[in-house]
Amino acid sequence: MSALLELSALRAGYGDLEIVHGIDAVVGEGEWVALVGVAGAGKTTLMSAIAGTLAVRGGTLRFAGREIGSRAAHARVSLGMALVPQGRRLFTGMSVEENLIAGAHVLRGRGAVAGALERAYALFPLLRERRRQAVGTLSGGEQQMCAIARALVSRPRLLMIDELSLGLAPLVVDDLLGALERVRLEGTALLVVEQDVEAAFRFASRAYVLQLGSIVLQGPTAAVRADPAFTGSYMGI
Amino acid sequence: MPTSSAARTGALIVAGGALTALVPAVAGVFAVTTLADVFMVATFAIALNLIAGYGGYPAFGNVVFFGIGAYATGVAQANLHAPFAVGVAAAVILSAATALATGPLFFRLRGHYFAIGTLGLNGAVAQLVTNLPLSGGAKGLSLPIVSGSPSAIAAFFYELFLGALVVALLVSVWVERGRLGYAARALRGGEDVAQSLGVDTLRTKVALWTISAALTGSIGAVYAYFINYIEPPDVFSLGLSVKAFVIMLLGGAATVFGPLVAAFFVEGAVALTQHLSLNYDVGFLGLIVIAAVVFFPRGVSRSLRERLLARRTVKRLG
Repeated sequence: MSALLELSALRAGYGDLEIVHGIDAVVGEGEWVALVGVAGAGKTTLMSAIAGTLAVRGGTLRFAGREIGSRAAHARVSLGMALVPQGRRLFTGMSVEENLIAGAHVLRGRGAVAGALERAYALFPLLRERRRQAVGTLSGGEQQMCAIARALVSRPRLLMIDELSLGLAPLVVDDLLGALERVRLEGTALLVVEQDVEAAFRFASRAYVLQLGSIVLQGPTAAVRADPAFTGSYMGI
Repeated sequence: MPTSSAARTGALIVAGGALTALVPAVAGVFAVTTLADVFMVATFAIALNLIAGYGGYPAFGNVVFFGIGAYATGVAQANLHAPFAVGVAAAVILSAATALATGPLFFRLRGHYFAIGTLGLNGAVAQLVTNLPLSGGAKGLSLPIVSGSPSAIAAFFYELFLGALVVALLVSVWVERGRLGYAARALRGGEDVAQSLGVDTLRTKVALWTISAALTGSIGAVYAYFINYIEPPDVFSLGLSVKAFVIMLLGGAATVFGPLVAAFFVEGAVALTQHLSLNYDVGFLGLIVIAAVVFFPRGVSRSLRERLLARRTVKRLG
């Protein structure tokens, strides 16, 4: 498996504060990687740095063989990465379909946009039924579907999700995980941030455990889960 | 995709404009001139709406482009003896170029800071114009007078302002339903989110402001030719910006027809109050602003549209 996303000694933070220190991590083509850690571990900071909404402080960030650390966030989307931000951040006051069209910004031509919407609706048929509804009227799970679909319409090679299951019912999380596994089988790599380890490890092949801004444990999910250090680090003991 | 409905709306605007163009054939000079004024104010508000409404950037100093447009055509016609068409072209190009050149600087600012920044731009350009030898300075600048009967002159400017209005409405539809419009709406939802969806936010903002400037500059040019005499305090007057903001907010920010409807309402109200009392007309305008903010904090047509969307949703769910 060749590396699609490659972080080495990556540092990021806000103001005088460095939040993540020297991260080394890899996501392969078509791979599902979980990023777990307790609240405050630096997961969102790391995701923002990869997506480009937060400046990289040091180290290298490579995507699809290119150094992208100094590229603007919007230019990274054109290269094939998409982020579902924490808290979903849907455009309220707009319908489901309008949110998806906004997500298809990097596509050129009506045909391409229509095709991308069609694929999104095929993945989440519920969104097709609700496509004219204001997103504010959707349930939490439907909103998360909409946020994932909005990221997917740009046809990314890497889909990054910052908190998939937060505040959602377990059955809804099952549905979302199933849909994401289909997305992965179609060739899109996934980097999913989760606090819920059960959900995070169900389909992921590998996991990174972040603690206080550093990766303390990594490897195949089964091995990570079995590692006695995992329970310790994850529980913050 | 909403494109077919955009084409329909565009056709409707063109047809409406063509019908409205016939008004001078039947109406008197006063009515024609009053309507022309409404079209001018409406166009200003629609142009402002592109950056302030759709883009969410309160360009309070947008009147600077009105002034630049007025002076571009003034200098072209009075000093260089160029035809009016050249003046309009110069107005559009200079206004757009100003927005294009200063945009990347001003869009480092947000919210109130951006609004104040554009006020500074207006002040600076007004000062520059006052002190340049070419523009007649504080004495002002006289433009050539259009020849013809009063009704023919009124009709001429009526058609020009109407033309600008039709173009502004078409541009609004194009922006709202097109790629730029979705980018602008994403922008209002949060710049970081817009960026992470692939939207070049700076480019989007500069594009919106440049289009807004070009439209505002074109009506500044028509106004200068219409009024024949321009001076900096008149064409760089913040009063026009304020009025356009009131109209935009009252009609509904980020709607195509809201500012047009509100322009009729506000200009009508102003004419009426001036007719009733020349002492209290400004006070009445103030009351309209207060009422608009209290009852329609998000604008009349926006409130209606959201109610419609909510009702449709309820129907679907029920």
